Amino acid sequence: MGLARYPGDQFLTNVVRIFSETLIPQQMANSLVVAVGDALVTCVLSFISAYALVFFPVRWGSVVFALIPATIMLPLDIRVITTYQVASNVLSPINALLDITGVNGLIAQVFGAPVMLEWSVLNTHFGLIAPLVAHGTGTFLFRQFFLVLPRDLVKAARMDGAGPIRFLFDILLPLSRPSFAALFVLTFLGGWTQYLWPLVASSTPNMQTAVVGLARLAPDTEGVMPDFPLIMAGAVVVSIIPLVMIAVLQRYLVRGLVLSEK
Amino acid sequence: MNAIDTAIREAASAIMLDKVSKSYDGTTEVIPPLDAELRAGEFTVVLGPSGCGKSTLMQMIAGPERVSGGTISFGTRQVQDLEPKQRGCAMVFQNYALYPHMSVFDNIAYSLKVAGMPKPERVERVEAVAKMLGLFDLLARKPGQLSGGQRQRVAIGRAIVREPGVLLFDEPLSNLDAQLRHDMRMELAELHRRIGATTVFVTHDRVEAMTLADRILILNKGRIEQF
Amino acid sequence: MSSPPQALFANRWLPVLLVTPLALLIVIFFYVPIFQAFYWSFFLERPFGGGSIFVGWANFARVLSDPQFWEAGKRTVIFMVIGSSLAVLVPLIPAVAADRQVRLSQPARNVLVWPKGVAGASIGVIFAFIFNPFVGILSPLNQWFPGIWAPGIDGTDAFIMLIAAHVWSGIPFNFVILLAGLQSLPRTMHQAAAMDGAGARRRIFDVQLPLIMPQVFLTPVLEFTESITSAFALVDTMTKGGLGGSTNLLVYKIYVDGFNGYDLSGAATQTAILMVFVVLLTGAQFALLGRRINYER
Repeated sequence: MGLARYPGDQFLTNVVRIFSETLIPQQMANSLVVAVGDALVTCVLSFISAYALVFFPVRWGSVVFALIPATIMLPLDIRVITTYQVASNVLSPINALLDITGVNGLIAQVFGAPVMLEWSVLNTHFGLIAPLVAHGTGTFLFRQFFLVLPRDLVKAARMDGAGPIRFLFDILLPLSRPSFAALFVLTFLGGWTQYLWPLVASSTPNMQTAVVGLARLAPDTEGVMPDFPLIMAGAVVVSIIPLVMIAVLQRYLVRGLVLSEK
Repeated sequence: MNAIDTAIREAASAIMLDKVSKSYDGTTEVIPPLDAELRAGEFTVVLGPSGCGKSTLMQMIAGPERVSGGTISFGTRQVQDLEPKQRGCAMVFQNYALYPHMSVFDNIAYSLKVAGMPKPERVERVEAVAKMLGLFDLLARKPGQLSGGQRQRVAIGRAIVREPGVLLFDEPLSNLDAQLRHDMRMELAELHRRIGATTVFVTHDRVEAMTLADRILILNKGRIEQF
Repeated sequence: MSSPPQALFANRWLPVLLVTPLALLIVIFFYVPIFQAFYWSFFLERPFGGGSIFVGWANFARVLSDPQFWEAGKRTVIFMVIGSSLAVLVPLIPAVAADRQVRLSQPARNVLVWPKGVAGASIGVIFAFIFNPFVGILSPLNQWFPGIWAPGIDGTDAFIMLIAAHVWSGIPFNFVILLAGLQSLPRTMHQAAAMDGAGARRRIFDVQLPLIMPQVFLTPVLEFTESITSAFALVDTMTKGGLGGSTNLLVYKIYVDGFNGYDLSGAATQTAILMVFVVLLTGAQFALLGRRINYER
């Protein structure tokens, strides 16, 4: 078997096969939902929480900040086993709390059965996205940016009669656009390239993301020669959206990366 | 003389400080109880070395900083518990604190917009102020495209557009070079003659104090040394 | 916090409201799982419900006496250290060389950050193809010396392949970061050194390298966590742990034990150990860096 090192006419045939024979188009839609959802939710939540911590005199601010470094050190891939268990029943901490405090014992005596709440987010888009958002990098990034803004800007806005919400929308948001873009690209790429979490959190192929789908194109059994041309075409197709993203927003990506290193 | 001049002259009110004090931690006082009366329409310069508490005093008059004790009155109104926007005073900041993403027009108009003034009236007011300060041709520019002196004028325009009874300046000339500083001093004196607002001007520069002030208040370690 | 106590918005409930959504997500999907990993490591957990029994340190004893755990742990450390240092040191050389000669054009930079957009798993399947012993680039080698390149059979070959894939994906991007660091150094510094009589090579070692040490050290810190993430995707797509576990890294072993072997307690115990290790390692790096490499510029 020879190795074609150049994309020939077979390449296009294989791309067509990716679109007609595999689930990858649908899985790319999932990837898009996950990546955009991850990026948007991360941006918005990080922005408002950093805003709350920098521009309000909150005494518990340092407690919240103390929660953040660990989220940067321990990626999802390390804690996947127990995150999976939590995702299989998001309400399990409440059950445990009821058990430990003895409330459940009381309820069991009065109503005959203890409370066992159950809500699984596995195999849902929310479940694919939420653990990716549970991360403090964005809050850190925005805080860094807010702290270098001139302090008088807030005073001036207050003198002009702007309250906290007006200040947020009229002044802070427009000024933060580049940071927003940087964080958006970073988290979008992070969401798109996730592998382990979407692999375990989706149980049906049509909920899987494109990267997982691509890896599933290779046969699981040992000794079978994989359909390499098809897989390579798939790798190209799956990478196109993030590459376009980089091409368009490259400036912000490098900026964001340099920022997040500080 | 146009409408803005008269409006400000009419709004000008005296400032009474009665046992005003400030302390951040409850034990050490940055400003011990302090009394002073600044007369309506006068240009008062607060002079003192850096760290003497003059900026804190100004922030308390303006509103972003709360008093720890005592009262502040504008005319007959007690204002120390009011939000900055309810006090009817305006401030020019040391670094101007212009909104970098807004045009000169939007910078000046912002407080009127927040207050909910209808657009035609807003445009009229901003244009009047801009003409008075020689900013009319620059209204569409962003602060980044202006020179230091022009930015300074925008900051002043933003302050007087609301026709404040009290006008506060927090070392506004310290970022300018010597020649420009001299010119701006002349302009400020001229402006004060025209609009007659009660003005408080904080600085550490004696020459500035001498040329501008009707009265000078010398502050040291939070205490009034001379007034 | 360092922010001065002035000009802030005084509002009690608004900040609470703004922080709550993210804090809630972090607690549920970060801290609860972490707590649970430690909790489970002291219990024998039945995979299909049916309760759990407190077993004290028994899980730790079991895991720590398992030679496979130590093998995987050792390989994880080797992978992290070699992979991360190569991913930083290899691009450092061209970055220093390129510093003054080229201003990177926008398109060139663009292409160099591309690997950031290619998923670890995609890189895995691509490298599995490139290094395939029968059709890949090294296949001619096998025609001359049969059996010299056999990542499916030879553990060392498989491990090399793994590191190569990881390093490849990191090089271009780290090049951009390091070059950005170098180019942010004041030009006058070069001129001053040249006036002092330092030649081009001396300037590299006396001026450029010391001044970008913060980046050089910080990049591997990030690389470490990155390498853990990339490790799973690469192992799963390229070697599946390799023959006899020759490329079985800890993240992969935890996944296999937990999801395929239904040994939840064992997997949780290994997770707990790995987390402690990673936190200690990054914590130590930060403590060391924070103190030692801090130049006033």
